[in-house]
Amino acid sequence: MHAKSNYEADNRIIRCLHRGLAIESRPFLTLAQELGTTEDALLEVIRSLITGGVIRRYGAVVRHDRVGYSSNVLVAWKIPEERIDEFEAVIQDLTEVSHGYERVSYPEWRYNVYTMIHGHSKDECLSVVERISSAIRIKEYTLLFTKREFKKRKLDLEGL
Amino acid sequence: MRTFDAIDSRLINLLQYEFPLAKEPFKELATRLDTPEDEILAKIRRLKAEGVIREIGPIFNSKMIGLVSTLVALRVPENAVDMAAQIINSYAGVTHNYEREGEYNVWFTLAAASDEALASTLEEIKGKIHPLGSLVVPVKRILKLKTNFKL
Repeated sequence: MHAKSNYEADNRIIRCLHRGLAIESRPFLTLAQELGTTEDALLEVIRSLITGGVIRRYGAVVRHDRVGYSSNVLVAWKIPEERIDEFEAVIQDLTEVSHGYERVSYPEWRYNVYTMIHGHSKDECLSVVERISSAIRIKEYTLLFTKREFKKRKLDLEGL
Repeated sequence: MRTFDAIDSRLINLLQYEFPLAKEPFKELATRLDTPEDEILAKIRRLKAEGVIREIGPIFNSKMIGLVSTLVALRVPENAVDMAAQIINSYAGVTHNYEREGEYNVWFTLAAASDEALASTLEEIKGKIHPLGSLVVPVKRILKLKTNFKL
Protein backbone atom coordinates (compact mmCIF):
# COMPACT_ATOMS: atom_id res chain seq x y z
CA MET A 1 0.00 0.00 0.00
CA HIS A 2 2.71 2.39 1.06
CA ALA A 3 4.92 1.40 -1.86
CA LYS A 4 2.06 2.04 -4.23
CA SER A 5 1.39 5.57 -3.02
CA ASN A 6 5.11 6.35 -3.29
CA TYR A 7 5.09 5.01 -6.82
CA GLU A 8 2.14 7.23 -7.66
CA ALA A 9 3.87 10.26 -6.16
CA ASP A 10 7.01 9.52 -8.19
CA ASN A 11 4.93 9.01 -11.29
CA ARG A 12 3.27 12.39 -10.87
CA ILE A 13 6.63 14.11 -10.47
CA ILE A 14 8.08 12.27 -13.48
CA ARG A 15 5.14 13.20 -15.71
CA CYS A 16 5.34 16.80 -14.58
CA LEU A 17 9.11 17.06 -15.16
CA HIS A 18 8.81 15.25 -18.50
CA ARG A 19 6.77 18.13 -19.93
CA GLY A 20 9.91 20.29 -19.89
CA LEU A 21 10.92 23.67 -18.56
CA ALA A 22 9.35 27.01 -19.41
CA ILE A 23 11.83 29.64 -20.56
CA GLU A 24 11.23 32.14 -17.77
CA SER A 25 13.13 33.54 -14.84
CA ARG A 26 11.97 31.03 -12.23
CA PRO A 27 10.94 28.01 -14.29
CA PHE A 28 10.98 25.54 -11.40
CA LEU A 29 8.45 27.64 -9.46
CA THR A 30 5.62 26.83 -11.87
CA LEU A 31 6.35 23.10 -11.65
CA ALA A 32 6.75 23.19 -7.86
CA GLN A 33 3.41 24.95 -7.41
CA GLU A 34 1.71 22.39 -9.60
CA LEU A 35 3.17 19.61 -7.47
CA GLY A 36 2.30 21.42 -4.23
CA THR A 37 5.91 21.80 -3.15
CA THR A 38 8.68 24.38 -3.08
CA GLU A 39 11.39 25.08 -5.65
CA ASP A 40 14.08 23.96 -3.21
CA ALA A 41 12.31 20.67 -2.54
CA LEU A 42 11.73 20.07 -6.25
CA LEU A 43 15.36 20.83 -7.11
CA GLU A 44 16.41 18.38 -4.40
CA VAL A 45 14.15 15.71 -5.94
CA ILE A 46 15.70 16.33 -9.37
CA ARG A 47 19.22 16.02 -7.91
CA SER A 48 18.31 12.77 -6.20
CA LEU A 49 16.77 11.40 -9.42
CA ILE A 50 20.06 12.20 -11.19
CA THR A 51 22.11 10.56 -8.42
CA GLY A 52 19.83 7.52 -8.54
CA GLY A 53 20.21 7.19 -12.30
CA VAL A 54 16.53 7.84 -13.03
CA ILE A 55 17.47 11.04 -14.89
CA ARG A 56 20.49 10.55 -17.14
CA ARG A 57 20.97 14.23 -17.84
CA TYR A 58 19.04 17.43 -17.18
CA GLY A 59 19.40 19.98 -19.93
CA ALA A 60 18.63 20.98 -23.47
CA VAL A 61 17.86 18.48 -26.18
CA VAL A 62 19.12 19.88 -29.48
CA ARG A 63 18.33 18.93 -33.03
CA HIS A 64 21.81 17.76 -33.99
CA ASP A 65 21.26 18.51 -37.66
CA ARG A 66 20.70 22.18 -36.71
CA VAL A 67 23.95 22.52 -34.80
CA GLY A 68 26.24 21.20 -37.52
CA TYR A 69 25.96 17.43 -37.07
CA SER A 70 24.26 16.97 -40.40
CA SER A 71 25.18 13.35 -41.01
CA ASN A 72 24.71 10.17 -39.02
CA VAL A 73 24.76 6.45 -39.55
CA LEU A 74 23.49 3.49 -37.58
CA VAL A 75 25.97 0.62 -37.86
CA ALA A 76 25.18 -3.00 -36.97
CA TRP A 77 28.23 -5.14 -36.14
CA LYS A 78 28.88 -8.86 -35.76
CA ILE A 79 31.09 -9.02 -32.69
CA PRO A 80 31.95 -12.36 -31.07
CA GLU A 81 30.49 -12.50 -27.55
CA GLU A 82 33.91 -12.68 -25.91
CA ARG A 83 35.12 -9.55 -27.71
CA ILE A 84 32.28 -7.19 -26.80
CA ASP A 85 34.25 -5.75 -23.86
CA GLU A 86 37.07 -4.92 -26.27
CA PHE A 87 34.60 -3.25 -28.64
CA GLU A 88 33.15 -1.29 -25.72
CA ALA A 89 36.62 0.03 -24.86
CA VAL A 90 37.27 1.08 -28.48
CA ILE A 91 34.15 3.26 -28.76
CA GLN A 92 34.42 4.95 -25.33
CA ASP A 93 36.79 7.71 -26.41
CA LEU A 94 35.26 8.32 -29.84
CA THR A 95 33.11 11.41 -29.30
CA GLU A 96 31.35 10.75 -32.64
CA VAL A 97 29.79 7.58 -31.17
CA SER A 98 26.74 8.62 -29.16
CA HIS A 99 25.12 5.23 -28.55
CA GLY A 100 26.50 1.70 -28.37
CA TYR A 101 24.31 -1.28 -27.55
CA GLU A 102 24.60 -5.03 -27.43
CA ARG A 103 21.26 -6.30 -28.71
CA VAL A 104 19.52 -9.64 -29.23
CA SER A 105 20.53 -11.35 -32.50
CA TYR A 106 19.10 -14.19 -34.59
CA PRO A 107 20.44 -16.91 -36.90
CA GLU A 108 19.07 -14.93 -39.86
CA TRP A 109 20.45 -11.65 -38.47
CA ARG A 110 23.70 -12.19 -36.61
CA TYR A 111 24.41 -8.51 -35.99
CA ASN A 112 24.54 -8.13 -32.21
CA VAL A 113 26.12 -4.72 -31.58
CA TYR A 114 24.80 -1.35 -32.77
CA THR A 115 26.46 2.05 -32.80
CA MET A 116 25.03 5.44 -33.69
CA ILE A 117 27.65 7.70 -35.23
CA HIS A 118 27.26 11.45 -35.79
CA GLY A 119 29.44 13.69 -37.88
CA HIS A 120 29.61 16.91 -39.84
CA SER A 121 29.62 14.94 -43.11
CA LYS A 122 29.05 11.45 -44.48
CA ASP A 123 32.81 11.06 -45.00
CA GLU A 124 33.47 11.93 -41.38
CA CYS A 125 30.96 9.25 -40.28
CA LEU A 126 32.49 6.65 -42.61
CA SER A 127 36.01 7.39 -41.40
CA VAL A 128 34.88 6.75 -37.81
CA VAL A 129 33.40 3.40 -38.91
CA GLU A 130 36.75 2.57 -40.56
CA ARG A 131 38.65 3.55 -37.42
CA ILE A 132 36.49 1.30 -35.24
CA SER A 133 36.71 -1.55 -37.76
CA SER A 134 40.50 -1.46 -37.96
CA ALA A 135 40.94 -0.98 -34.19
CA ILE A 136 38.82 -4.07 -33.49
CA ARG A 137 39.99 -5.92 -36.65
CA ILE A 138 36.42 -6.83 -37.61
CA LYS A 139 35.00 -6.11 -41.03
CA GLU A 140 31.60 -7.67 -40.57
CA TYR A 141 29.28 -4.73 -40.26
CA THR A 142 26.43 -3.17 -42.18
CA LEU A 143 25.67 0.53 -42.64
CA LEU A 144 22.03 1.31 -42.01
CA PHE A 145 21.87 4.77 -43.52
CA THR A 146 18.67 6.74 -43.04
CA LYS A 147 16.58 7.19 -46.17
CA ARG A 148 13.69 9.00 -44.49
CA GLU A 149 12.87 10.09 -40.95
CA PHE A 150 9.21 9.39 -40.19
CA LYS A 151 9.17 10.21 -36.50
CA LYS A 152 11.55 11.48 -33.87
CA ARG A 153 10.09 12.87 -30.67
CA LYS A 154 10.19 12.40 -26.96
CA LEU A 155 8.04 9.70 -25.46
CA ASP A 156 4.35 10.50 -25.06
CA LEU A 157 3.99 9.32 -21.44
CA GLU A 158 0.35 10.38 -21.30
CA GLY A 159 -0.48 8.22 -24.30
CA LEU A 160 1.01 4.98 -22.99
CA MET B 1 22.43 25.69 -41.02
CA ARG B 2 22.42 29.15 -39.55
CA THR B 3 25.63 30.31 -37.96
CA PHE B 4 25.85 30.98 -34.26
CA ASP B 5 27.76 33.78 -32.59
CA ALA B 6 30.21 33.01 -29.78
CA ILE B 7 27.60 33.58 -27.04
CA ASP B 8 25.03 31.36 -28.81
CA SER B 9 27.55 28.53 -29.14
CA ARG B 10 28.62 28.69 -25.51
CA LEU B 11 24.99 29.00 -24.44
CA ILE B 12 23.94 25.90 -26.41
CA ASN B 13 26.81 23.91 -24.88
CA LEU B 14 26.00 25.06 -21.33
CA LEU B 15 22.29 24.36 -21.79
CA GLN B 16 23.08 20.82 -22.90
CA TYR B 17 25.79 19.77 -20.51
CA GLU B 18 25.98 22.21 -17.59
CA PHE B 19 22.41 23.33 -17.00
CA PRO B 20 22.28 24.91 -13.51
CA LEU B 21 19.82 23.23 -11.17
CA ALA B 22 18.99 26.43 -9.35
CA LYS B 23 15.95 28.60 -8.67
CA GLU B 24 17.10 31.07 -11.32
CA PRO B 25 19.03 28.93 -13.78
CA PHE B 26 19.01 31.47 -16.60
CA LYS B 27 20.37 34.18 -14.32
CA GLU B 28 23.31 31.89 -13.50
CA LEU B 29 23.91 31.28 -17.20
CA ALA B 30 23.67 35.03 -17.77
CA THR B 31 26.40 35.62 -15.20
CA ARG B 32 28.64 32.97 -16.74
CA LEU B 33 28.18 34.45 -20.19
CA ASP B 34 28.42 38.03 -18.95
CA THR B 35 25.15 38.88 -20.71
CA PRO B 36 21.88 40.24 -19.23
CA GLU B 37 19.35 37.57 -18.26
CA ASP B 38 16.68 39.12 -20.51
CA GLU B 39 18.98 38.67 -23.47
CA ILE B 40 19.73 35.06 -22.53
CA LEU B 41 16.00 34.29 -22.21
CA ALA B 42 15.36 35.92 -25.60
CA LYS B 43 18.17 33.94 -27.22
CA ILE B 44 16.84 30.64 -25.84
CA ARG B 45 13.28 31.44 -26.92
CA ARG B 46 14.60 32.14 -30.40
CA LEU B 47 16.62 28.90 -30.50
CA LYS B 48 13.47 27.02 -29.48
CA ALA B 49 11.32 28.78 -32.06
CA GLU B 50 13.89 27.93 -34.74
CA GLY B 51 13.89 24.28 -33.69
CA VAL B 52 17.56 24.25 -32.72
CA ILE B 53 16.58 23.39 -29.14
CA ARG B 54 13.73 20.92 -28.86
CA GLU B 55 13.34 21.60 -25.17
CA ILE B 56 14.99 21.79 -21.78
CA GLY B 57 14.20 19.03 -19.32
CA PRO B 58 15.15 15.65 -17.95
CA ILE B 59 16.37 12.77 -20.11
CA PHE B 60 14.98 9.78 -18.26
CA ASN B 61 16.39 6.27 -18.09
CA SER B 62 13.22 4.63 -19.41
CA LYS B 63 13.88 1.40 -17.52
CA MET B 64 14.08 3.30 -14.23
CA ILE B 65 10.64 4.85 -14.74
CA GLY B 66 9.08 1.44 -15.24
CA LEU B 67 9.08 1.19 -19.01
CA VAL B 68 10.21 -1.59 -21.29
CA SER B 69 11.36 -0.87 -24.81
CA THR B 70 12.86 -2.40 -27.90
CA LEU B 71 14.12 -1.66 -31.37
CA VAL B 72 12.14 -3.35 -34.14
CA ALA B 73 13.09 -3.86 -37.79
CA LEU B 74 10.59 -4.75 -40.50
CA ARG B 75 11.01 -5.88 -44.08
CA VAL B 76 8.31 -4.01 -45.97
CA PRO B 77 7.79 -3.93 -49.76
CA GLU B 78 8.83 -0.61 -51.25
CA ASN B 79 5.27 0.37 -52.17
CA ALA B 80 3.96 -0.29 -48.65
CA VAL B 81 6.57 1.72 -46.71
CA ASP B 82 4.49 4.93 -46.51
CA MET B 83 1.48 3.05 -45.20
CA ALA B 84 3.63 1.18 -42.67
CA ALA B 85 5.24 4.44 -41.51
CA GLN B 86 1.86 6.01 -40.89
CA ILE B 87 0.61 3.05 -38.87
CA ILE B 88 3.79 2.89 -36.75
CA ASN B 89 3.82 6.67 -36.15
CA SER B 90 0.31 6.55 -34.70
CA TYR B 91 1.48 4.66 -31.60
CA ALA B 92 2.33 6.72 -28.49
CA GLY B 93 5.15 4.33 -27.52
CA VAL B 94 7.03 4.98 -30.77
CA THR B 95 9.71 7.68 -30.45
CA HIS B 96 11.91 6.92 -33.48
CA ASN B 97 10.81 5.62 -36.87
CA TYR B 98 13.02 5.52 -39.96
CA GLU B 99 13.25 4.14 -43.44
CA ARG B 100 16.76 2.72 -43.75
CA GLU B 101 18.94 1.20 -46.43
CA GLY B 102 19.17 -2.60 -46.37
CA GLU B 103 17.15 -5.77 -46.29
CA TYR B 104 15.18 -4.62 -43.24
CA ASN B 105 14.04 -1.21 -44.34
CA VAL B 106 11.77 0.13 -41.56
CA TRP B 107 13.27 0.56 -38.09
CA PHE B 108 11.42 1.91 -35.07
CA THR B 109 11.65 2.02 -31.27
CA LEU B 110 8.71 0.98 -29.15
CA ALA B 111 8.19 1.55 -25.41
CA ALA B 112 5.39 0.25 -23.19
CA ALA B 113 4.43 -0.02 -19.54
CA SER B 114 4.90 -3.81 -19.41
CA ASP B 115 6.33 -6.74 -21.38
CA GLU B 116 2.77 -7.88 -22.11
CA ALA B 117 1.73 -4.47 -23.43
CA LEU B 118 4.88 -4.33 -25.57
CA ALA B 119 4.25 -7.77 -27.06
CA SER B 120 0.58 -7.11 -27.80
CA THR B 121 1.28 -3.72 -29.38
CA LEU B 122 3.91 -5.32 -31.59
CA GLU B 123 1.49 -8.03 -32.66
CA GLU B 124 -1.11 -5.38 -33.42
CA ILE B 125 1.35 -3.39 -35.54
CA LYS B 126 2.52 -6.47 -37.43
CA GLY B 127 -1.10 -7.53 -37.93
CA LYS B 128 -1.83 -4.24 -39.66
CA ILE B 129 1.33 -4.11 -41.78
CA HIS B 130 1.96 -7.79 -42.64
CA PRO B 131 5.74 -7.34 -43.08
CA LEU B 132 7.71 -9.90 -45.09
CA GLY B 133 9.97 -10.30 -42.08
CA SER B 134 10.60 -8.76 -38.68
CA LEU B 135 13.31 -8.57 -36.03
CA VAL B 136 12.73 -7.63 -32.41
CA VAL B 137 16.10 -6.57 -31.02
CA PRO B 138 15.91 -5.33 -27.41
CA VAL B 139 19.05 -4.10 -25.64
CA LYS B 140 21.06 -6.72 -23.76
CA ARG B 141 23.68 -4.30 -22.51
CA ILE B 142 24.41 -0.60 -22.90
CA LEU B 143 27.99 -0.16 -24.07
CA LYS B 144 27.90 3.61 -24.38
CA LEU B 145 25.37 6.39 -24.01
CA LYS B 146 26.92 9.80 -24.33
CA THR B 147 25.82 12.39 -26.82
CA ASN B 148 28.33 15.01 -27.76
CA PHE B 149 26.75 17.76 -29.80
CA LYS B 150 29.13 20.49 -28.76
CA LEU B 151 29.55 23.56 -30.89
